[in-house]
Amino acid sequence: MSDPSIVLHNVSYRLASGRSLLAGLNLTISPGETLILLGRSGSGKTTSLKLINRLLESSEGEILIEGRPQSLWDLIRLRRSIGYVIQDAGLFPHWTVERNVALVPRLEGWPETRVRERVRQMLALVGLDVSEFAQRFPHELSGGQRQRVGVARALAADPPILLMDEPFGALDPVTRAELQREFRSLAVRLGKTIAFVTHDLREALLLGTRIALLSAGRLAGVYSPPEFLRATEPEARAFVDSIDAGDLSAAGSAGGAAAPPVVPNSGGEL
Amino acid sequence: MTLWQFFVQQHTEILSRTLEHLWLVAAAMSVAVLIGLPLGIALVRRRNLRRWVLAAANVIQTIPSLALFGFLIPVPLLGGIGASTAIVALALYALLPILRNTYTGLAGVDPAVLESARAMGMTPRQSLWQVELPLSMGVILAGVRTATVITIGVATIAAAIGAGGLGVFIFRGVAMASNAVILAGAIPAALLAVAADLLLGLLERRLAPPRTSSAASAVSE
Repeated sequence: MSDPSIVLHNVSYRLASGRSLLAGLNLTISPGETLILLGRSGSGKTTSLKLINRLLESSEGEILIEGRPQSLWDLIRLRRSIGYVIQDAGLFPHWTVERNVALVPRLEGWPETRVRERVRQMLALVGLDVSEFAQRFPHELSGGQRQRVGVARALAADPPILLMDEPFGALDPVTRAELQREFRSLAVRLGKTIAFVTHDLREALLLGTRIALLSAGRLAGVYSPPEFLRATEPEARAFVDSIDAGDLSAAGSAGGAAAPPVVPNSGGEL
Repeated sequence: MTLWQFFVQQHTEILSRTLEHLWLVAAAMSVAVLIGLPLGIALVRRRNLRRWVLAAANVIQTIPSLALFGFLIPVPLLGGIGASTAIVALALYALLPILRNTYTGLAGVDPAVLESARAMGMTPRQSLWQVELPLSMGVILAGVRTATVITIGVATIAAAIGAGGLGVFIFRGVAMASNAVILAGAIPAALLAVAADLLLGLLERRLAPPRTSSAASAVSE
């Protein structure tokens, strides 16, 4: 096993008012795995994600990115090494698809020919035809297409790490299932380290190599998809009980089969 | 003598007063934009300053214009009789709409877009120039347009402190009880205001980003 990509060691986050959103989080994410941060609203999953690329600053604890403490990284360097995809894609509405996807390569000063080639590759990767979509503006796309562009933009500078915050949350069920399937094969193919926030257990079982369950700002456990279904921890049971048993066996076995060997969590609370 | 004959007879002075008027407006607007735009940007970054600065600009706006010109005359450096005092007063008037719209425009940029810019590794400067300002350009220009139209009107009063401009005709006409003379100042001033409104409106539509959010149309007055 290679060095972990992301390590959160005893990490806490408190608001200026003193209210604690996250306490004592220990989590290790290995290279190439898709770790799902699962939890209800307000459980601290998005907070955990934003601590990784320093959109939020942890109040306590240490975070290592590719073996280096976050504090030793240049902030801009760090963020450009970590792709970020959010629910409504967060595309720049005044830029074409081409410019949006080219954002980080251009910030990094890539030569223009290489940028263009990269944009073409990235759009092809997410299943969008360059000649049809490159010059469109975000408002001329469907929700699913916008999300594809969001993924292409996040991957454009080939960052080793990808953070995704409910990226398929706002899509209709059919488009959502389509993007989930494509994303799953993409994740396996690209070998990126992915932290993926969702409140949808089906999505977690389908996409995750492991699932970190958060509850009220604490880690309730880390499971492989099959383990999650058998877990006795009350919050995990609440999630399992909330969805139909028929769906579960299918989703669970699919997720389990695609998953690389499960890495035991080194610092979890279990 | 008809109004038209009067205009033809006086056309050289009307033209030179119009140019004088334009100069007052252009100088005042330049000062107001140069101060208002950076200040508006600063207000977004430091929200604790916002209340005080906007309140001060609001107070200035409530001072009757003739009184403001009067107040400035005894002020050292800025004051005195003439165009420079008028430009200072006009710039103070133009400041509020520019400041307020710059602030409103920037504050109205979609937080998801701002978060993306940050998360993708844009520096604050890159985010400001490439994302925030372009996205709020429509609202900011609406402020400049409002300010310009106000300034063209208020600049007629600058003649009261010897700054020239089209107000000279208006004050002279009032003294002579001559409508023709008043209109020689009022009509060109009104035409200037309409022209400025149309031109800046055109620029606003040209520079505003393609259908970004409802913010652009909501704030233009």
